[in-house]
Amino acid sequence: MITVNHYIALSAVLFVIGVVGVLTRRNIIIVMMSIEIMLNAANLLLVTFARQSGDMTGHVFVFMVMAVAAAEAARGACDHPRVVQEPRDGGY
Amino acid sequence: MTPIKIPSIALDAIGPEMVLTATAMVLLMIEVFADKKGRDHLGYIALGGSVLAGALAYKLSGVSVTTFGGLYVVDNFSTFFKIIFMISAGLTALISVKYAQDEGINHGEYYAMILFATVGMCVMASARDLITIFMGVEVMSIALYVLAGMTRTREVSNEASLKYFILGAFSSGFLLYGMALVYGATGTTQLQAIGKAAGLLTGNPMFIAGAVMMTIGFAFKVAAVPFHMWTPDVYQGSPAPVTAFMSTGPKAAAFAAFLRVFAEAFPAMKEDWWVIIWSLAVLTMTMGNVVALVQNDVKRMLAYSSIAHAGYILVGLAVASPAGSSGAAFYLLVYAFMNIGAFALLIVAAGKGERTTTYQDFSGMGRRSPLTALALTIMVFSLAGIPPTAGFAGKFYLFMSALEKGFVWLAVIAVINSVVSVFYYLKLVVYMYMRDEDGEARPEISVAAPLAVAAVVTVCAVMWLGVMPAKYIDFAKSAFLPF
Amino acid sequence: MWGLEHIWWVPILPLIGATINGLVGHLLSKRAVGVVAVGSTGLSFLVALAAFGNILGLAPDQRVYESVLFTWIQAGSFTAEAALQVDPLSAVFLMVVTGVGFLIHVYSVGYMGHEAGYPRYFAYLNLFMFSMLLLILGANFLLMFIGWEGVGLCSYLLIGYYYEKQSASDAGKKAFVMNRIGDFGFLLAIMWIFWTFGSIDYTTVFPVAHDKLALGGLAVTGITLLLFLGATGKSAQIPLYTWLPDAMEGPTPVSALIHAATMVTAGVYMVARCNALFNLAPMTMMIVALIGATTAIFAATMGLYQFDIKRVLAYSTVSQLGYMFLACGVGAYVAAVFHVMTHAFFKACLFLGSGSVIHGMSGEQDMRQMGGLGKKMPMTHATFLISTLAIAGIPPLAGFFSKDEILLSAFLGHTPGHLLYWVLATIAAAVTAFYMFRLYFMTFTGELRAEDHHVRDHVHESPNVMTMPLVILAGLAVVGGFLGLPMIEGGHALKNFLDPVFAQPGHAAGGHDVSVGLELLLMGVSVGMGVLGILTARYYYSVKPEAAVELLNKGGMIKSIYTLMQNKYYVDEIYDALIVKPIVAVSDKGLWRFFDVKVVDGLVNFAATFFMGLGSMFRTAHTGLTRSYAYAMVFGGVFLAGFWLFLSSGK
Repeated sequence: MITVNHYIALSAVLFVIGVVGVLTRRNIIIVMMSIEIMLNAANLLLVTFARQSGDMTGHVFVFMVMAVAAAEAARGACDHPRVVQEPRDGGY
Repeated sequence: MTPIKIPSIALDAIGPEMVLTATAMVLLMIEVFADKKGRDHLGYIALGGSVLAGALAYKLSGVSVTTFGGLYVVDNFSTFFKIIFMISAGLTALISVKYAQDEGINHGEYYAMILFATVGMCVMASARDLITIFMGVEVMSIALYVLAGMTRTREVSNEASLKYFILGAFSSGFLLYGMALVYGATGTTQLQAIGKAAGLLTGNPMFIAGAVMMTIGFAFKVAAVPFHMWTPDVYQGSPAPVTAFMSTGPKAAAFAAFLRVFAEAFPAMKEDWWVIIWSLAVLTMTMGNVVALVQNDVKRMLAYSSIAHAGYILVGLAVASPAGSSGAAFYLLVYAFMNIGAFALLIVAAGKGERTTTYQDFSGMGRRSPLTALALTIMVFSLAGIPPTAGFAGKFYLFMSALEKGFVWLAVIAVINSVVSVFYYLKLVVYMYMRDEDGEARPEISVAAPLAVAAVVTVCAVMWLGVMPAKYIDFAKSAFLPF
Repeated sequence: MWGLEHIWWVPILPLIGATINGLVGHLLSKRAVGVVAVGSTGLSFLVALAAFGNILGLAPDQRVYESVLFTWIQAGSFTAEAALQVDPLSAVFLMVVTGVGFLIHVYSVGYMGHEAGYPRYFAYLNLFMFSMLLLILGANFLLMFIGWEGVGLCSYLLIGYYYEKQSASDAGKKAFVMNRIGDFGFLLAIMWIFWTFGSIDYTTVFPVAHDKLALGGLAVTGITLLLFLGATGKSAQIPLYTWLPDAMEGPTPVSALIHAATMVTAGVYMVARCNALFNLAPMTMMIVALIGATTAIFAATMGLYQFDIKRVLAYSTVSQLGYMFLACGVGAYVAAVFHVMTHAFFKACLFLGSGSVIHGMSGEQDMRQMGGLGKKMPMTHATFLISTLAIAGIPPLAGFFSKDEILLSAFLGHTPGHLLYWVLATIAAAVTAFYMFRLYFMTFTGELRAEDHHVRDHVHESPNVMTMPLVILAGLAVVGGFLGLPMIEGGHALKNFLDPVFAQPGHAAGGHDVSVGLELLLMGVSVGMGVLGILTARYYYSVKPEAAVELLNKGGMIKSIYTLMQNKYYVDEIYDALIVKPIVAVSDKGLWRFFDVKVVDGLVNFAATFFMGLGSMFRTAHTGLTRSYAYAMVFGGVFLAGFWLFLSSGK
């Protein structure tokens, strides 16, 4: 039986993976992906709670976050070529 | 099927935001169609938009409405902060005109980004729901990430932008996760509803974890120690007008959201909260001041000084009283004027490409350009909190609110800190008036008209707010939050 | 009433002068700059004079006039008004500051005539006048504090006026640091006062002090000690006195105005103003008296073997300020104010006289190069002699009356240890007479010792614009003391004038019950000490100069004492080693490097190896930085969460 706690645990694990990724990885793209994982961990949490309480707000929030994540990714993407062209092979 | 209920929408309450957005769009259009000469007016259009938006915001003073189904609120608190944002945006546009032309960033999107960021700030000040707060934070931040890297040819600027982006997004992750946890614990994203539910939740680990993570997110945005590490690098690397902007408007917005969340959503946690904020405030101001003491670069010194000022403002949060919140608001208003003024004069002194920003570069400025030196002197005096400038009135009011609530030690530490800060501010004055030029070639100091206007406006504002602050403090007092 | 109602013009006029000279002074002719500066101060003096006349015309118990311009800061229960207050105490200071200030402005026109940066000099000087007047006229602690900061700033700017000289800018820095320590105490005291009384207005705080504060309680002792810390910084008392002798790097008129006649007496003014508080704190009073007496003798001995003419005067100023604090400490505020006034006259005259000498000697300040100037500079000589006699306490000159009153009060005081203070102060009087006459004999009598023949040929009397102020000040040094002549009905004119300010609730402000015999005896002792000092100086420096050399050549203890005094007891060196170096080391090498480099990087490195086993995580400083910032955030967050959990679990 999968309970809410399982989702919360999964989300926490995802979040930690994201944090550790930001802290340890050198490649800028992987770092951005890690941040994305952090955001998605939060999304998972939001959806879980929304389902649990039958409240739509959490779902709406998730859509907003997705939009934001897309904008951030766009912002990150325009940095990327400038940085990788430098001799530090994308390190940051 | 149940009909969809459309919540009431009061469009007149979001006049300032709409004006800003429209102006930003117009700027983007102009960028497409105008020639190089036509672009010289971009800055003034942005200025006009901010002034109009500021006037609309001012007209809303005294109005108190909650709209968009409770997502958005217009009250004196938000109105006061919006006026700060407009001042910050307008002055930034003004000091950018010459700079943008010199540095080759005179594009519509530069000014549009400033205005978009300002829209985000307005949303942060008015948000009464976690969703709107997050949206506001992100609208503001993404625009700022872009602004920090505007001067694409300068490597430091790129670096600053990237660092800011990575760390900012990282902190957003914490903020969002914290919001999700709070939502989970309380079942709502409405601040006041959270506040009601939170009364029953003291000691709930999920709720506390959420609050802590949200605090991390906000502490990052206001650059509180130890979440301040990005500030010096980003402030130093960004184009000077952008730094002036980032250190005033967005910082005020972060404080506005911070204050509102903790006043409306977490009042039950006040007893624990003040200890946390107390420590953050003490750490932040001490760290900022001590490190600023040993800087050689004026721009970097101003970055650390901005950290220290965030520490002072945190005093108003730690106090968690109406007087504390309005004290913080008033200080942010004062800080907007004095810091942008200081940066305007830094731009004057630094010359093209921001090559000359060390203390050494200011030597002999008292003779090379007496009026610039005098204006800069007034600005740093105000930053140092020397009467009768606005900085003094602001600090005084803020620290007094701490004393009234019995936070004697906090006030004492804050006073010690502002005494320490005088050293590095005055160092600049010493260089300007008591050092001769060392013979190195420095750019001729010429003050472009918009910069001169900005300098005069800020000097007058700083003196006026210092000598006659009563009226503005009254206004700030009406902009309190019910703690 | 014309005068009192226009009291605002007293500080505003110099401010206008400062603004004009500061903003457009470089466009004006030298003459115009001088007219603006001197004119604004002169007008201010006239208004002050009219106001003083008005005050005198009022009944003694109504001599308080308050003029509110506007409400400056209002926040909650806190109100600070931009208001000026004239009462007998501020009126006396007002006359001294505007009068002496005006004379020194006139003198500066001559003295600074050849200097570059002439408008800048006068802008600072006028700004100083504004701040000083705000300090003494402000009707609440906040305005006093603004003036307090302002005079400190102007003093700092003027000390560093010859900033090309390293020593001058160092001296400016030193004055600034020492004053900041004092200002900090003052600011804390203001906060404490507000906290206790809910107000910072004099008229609200002082009348209720007696009821609100317990005699000798923690609050009043703390407040007054902090206030006194402020006073020691501004008035150069132990332990914060070392900046004043160094401040002599500034132009001489500045030394006369700021570092002798006015600013350094601000501390005395503040203590006198807060007498209602100090009277409630016996322990503070004891400390004030002790510090005053110690400073008086300590600084006097340091003045014994200085060769720079201005430094001798500087140590003498520190010593005389010690007398004033001694008077405050034994509760004789009138005597303190009286001495402030007479000291302003004769010390300003001495400084301006020394300026005239330096001017005549083409900038030479070493007394070993001087001698025999009496014949070549008759006016300077005559006025200098009068003032030197005055400071030595020879009747009937001004210094005699005020010093005698202080000594008498110390002798009769109730403060513990008052007899010891009396002994110290009496010895200091002899020492003062000695070194002042050493200065006089070395400078004005004997033969000119300068070897440079340009200097020798160039010696001349100063122009009238410089000697006239000297004459006026010397005249005041002669007659100024007569204010203290006993009147028929007990007490003297100045005392009767000032008494309403110092009256203590529950006590009639009465004089001491002294037999005339005792008073005369004490007077005789102090005059005798003065004469003794003068005669000794005459023996060693005029009659038989080789005796001094012989004495030193004997070596032994005298020689070592001499070395100790000449090096000012090594106080500067001690401060440097104990305070300055560690602070610099901590802020430069310590905190910053430690915190930013060691702590953060250390944590990061530790975390990297511990959690990830990644060896060195930085390839270059740049690539590591962003991540190390993220680390700091995470650690901060973990710490925050732990802290919060700790707090909430405590309940």
